[in-house]
Amino acid sequence: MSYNFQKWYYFWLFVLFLACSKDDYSDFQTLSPNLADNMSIEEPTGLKFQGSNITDGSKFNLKVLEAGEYSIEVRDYFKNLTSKSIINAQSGDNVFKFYTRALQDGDYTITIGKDGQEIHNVKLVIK
Amino acid sequence: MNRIKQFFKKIEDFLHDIYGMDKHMKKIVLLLLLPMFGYGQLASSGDGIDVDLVYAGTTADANKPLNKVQVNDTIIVKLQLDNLSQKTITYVHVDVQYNVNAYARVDYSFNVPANAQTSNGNWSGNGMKWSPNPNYDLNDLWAQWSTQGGSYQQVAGWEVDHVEAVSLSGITGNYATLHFKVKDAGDNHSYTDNIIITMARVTDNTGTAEYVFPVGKVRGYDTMSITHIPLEDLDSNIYIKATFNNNFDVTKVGVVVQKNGTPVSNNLYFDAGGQINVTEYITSTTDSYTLDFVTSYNATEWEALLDNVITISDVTLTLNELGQYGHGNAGNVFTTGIQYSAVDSDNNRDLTPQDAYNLLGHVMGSVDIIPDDGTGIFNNSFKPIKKADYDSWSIYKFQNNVTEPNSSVVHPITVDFNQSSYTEDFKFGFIGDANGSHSSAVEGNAASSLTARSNNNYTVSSAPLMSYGQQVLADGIIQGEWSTAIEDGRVVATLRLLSTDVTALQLKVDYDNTVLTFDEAVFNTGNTVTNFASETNGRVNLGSIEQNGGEIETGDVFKVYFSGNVTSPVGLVSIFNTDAANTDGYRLILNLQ
Repeated sequence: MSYNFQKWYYFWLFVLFLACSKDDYSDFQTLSPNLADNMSIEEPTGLKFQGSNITDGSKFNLKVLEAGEYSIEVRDYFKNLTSKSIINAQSGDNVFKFYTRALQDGDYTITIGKDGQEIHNVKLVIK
Repeated sequence: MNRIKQFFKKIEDFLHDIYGMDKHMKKIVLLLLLPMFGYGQLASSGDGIDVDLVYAGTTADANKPLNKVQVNDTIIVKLQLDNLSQKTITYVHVDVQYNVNAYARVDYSFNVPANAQTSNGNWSGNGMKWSPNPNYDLNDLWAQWSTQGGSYQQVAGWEVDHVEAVSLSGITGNYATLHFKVKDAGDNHSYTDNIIITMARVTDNTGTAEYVFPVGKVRGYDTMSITHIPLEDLDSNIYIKATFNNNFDVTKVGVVVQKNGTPVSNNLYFDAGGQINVTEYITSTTDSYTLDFVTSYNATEWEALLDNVITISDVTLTLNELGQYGHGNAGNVFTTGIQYSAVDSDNNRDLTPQDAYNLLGHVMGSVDIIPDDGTGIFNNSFKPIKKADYDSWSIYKFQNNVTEPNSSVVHPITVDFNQSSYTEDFKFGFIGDANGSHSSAVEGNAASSLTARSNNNYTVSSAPLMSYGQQVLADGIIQGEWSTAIEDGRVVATLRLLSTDVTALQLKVDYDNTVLTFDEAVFNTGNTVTNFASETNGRVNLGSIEQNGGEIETGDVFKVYFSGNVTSPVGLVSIFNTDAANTDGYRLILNLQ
């Protein structure tokens, strides 16, 4: 082999070697492909949010025994009703998206109710 | 680095303004000029002794910048030795020359090793001033004295301190400190280099023979003189004070101090207590000062604030004052001239039904009552008024052509320097704020109308209630229900009114306009009710007003329809604020469940 050929040969071999090496994604957190598993609730009923804060598009699971309409109230620090949504829940797990772009950042009280009765009440930060 | 860039940018701009040079031409000229910029700087001794004349504040305020020093302040001047050599300083004397018309040296002290001998010989006579040796740099302090060419000469008005120390061990750092009382030398006096180091001698006697730091190795660096035109001896502390409404974040507004039309301060914002200290910017009794009010809100944020300031209850109150509300018992609901001025939308000093309808149009989104003079929405909607004028501006004065107090964002101020503490008090009004929801309260009786019903049988809640981030004084509380749900593939927000005797209602709702599109608002408020709805940047403004003697019906009065491909309505629509009014036009709080 000529010197010039060898030079290019080893260059491309080196490039190939680098290209085929194993990618290192240790800086990235691997998310579970099955989100519903992370949101699962072992008890017969319950309420579970995806994170400690509510961010736009994050999810929550409302697990109920009785299917029907449930209300989700969001109240500000002074207990003013800021948002109230009506959802139709099935018996068992119900995973919904929580949108936050229309809400100002802050501390809120989230109340889940059915037929005027309060079922869950949590205080969370909405971002 | 940024300062250097700014410096060169200023020179570039100057060249552009003067010669109209283009970008590349300016760069070339700057490159050619670059070596010249170094000539104005003093040179260090390199490996000898640098003698630095350091201004270190005043005896009353160690942090006072030199440019704020006033007549009768006593300034602190340090003589700082920086030994860059391998030698030891065992002897030093530095001559400090000062103009006695501008400064009186009132004190001095030494900071030298124990057992060192010190002295400060003052050479005054009939005046003494150094005539520099032109053959050497002015800061070549030993050369100035030791070589031929320079000498002290009799010049009236100048004195010299010969600041000397001898020690067996090393002298270094701030070895001596001088105090000078600042004097007014008159308008024609030149204050240039009125304190200056003229010469110095430094030696090392630790060896077998005295080592005298040679020519070129004892230099004044990096400062060897002080030039400052003192400010007037003004001892007043000057404050700007605001009395503000709790619904208005006073820390978001402030002032710029202008002297003879030129800004002399940055934006100075009110603290949480509503105060700004402007003492350091108002330094003369002969110049003209103004306060330019500014805000840290951008235009969008200010508009959002005005969304809370001007609401339907401002309209109903104004309509009632002008007999246009249609529910009887008209008039006499305004109590102050501030209210009249706030809603005089055509600014003709004649409040007419048209002003009320302009305000209604503004709330409905069809008319903009905020003037546009090109200076921005803040300047045209915010009304800072001196407190005494604010509290005394009555309806009578409004109606009888008394000169209206200055409510522009530019206020001349005249400080009474005879007072040790002077405060300029302001109150703040807003255009359209008829019910004073965000304006400062009017205090005292000077502005009140004796015929207003507020002094008779009108009662509001004794303490304000929090409603959507605002403190609201209201005539009552009404009930409603609010919900958002997915119906037939659309997101629908519904307001159900449960209370009677409601004659005006307004709701501003925010929605996620990255997910939803506003389709329509449907009203079921009654046949004689005027309804309105508009949308701007993700906020729907909807409301109703009844001016025909009836009231808004109860039930599902508002339905707002949005389209979007969503399966969860949670958080998509939220309430920004609410407002309501009764038949007298007074404000009601809408309590939503």
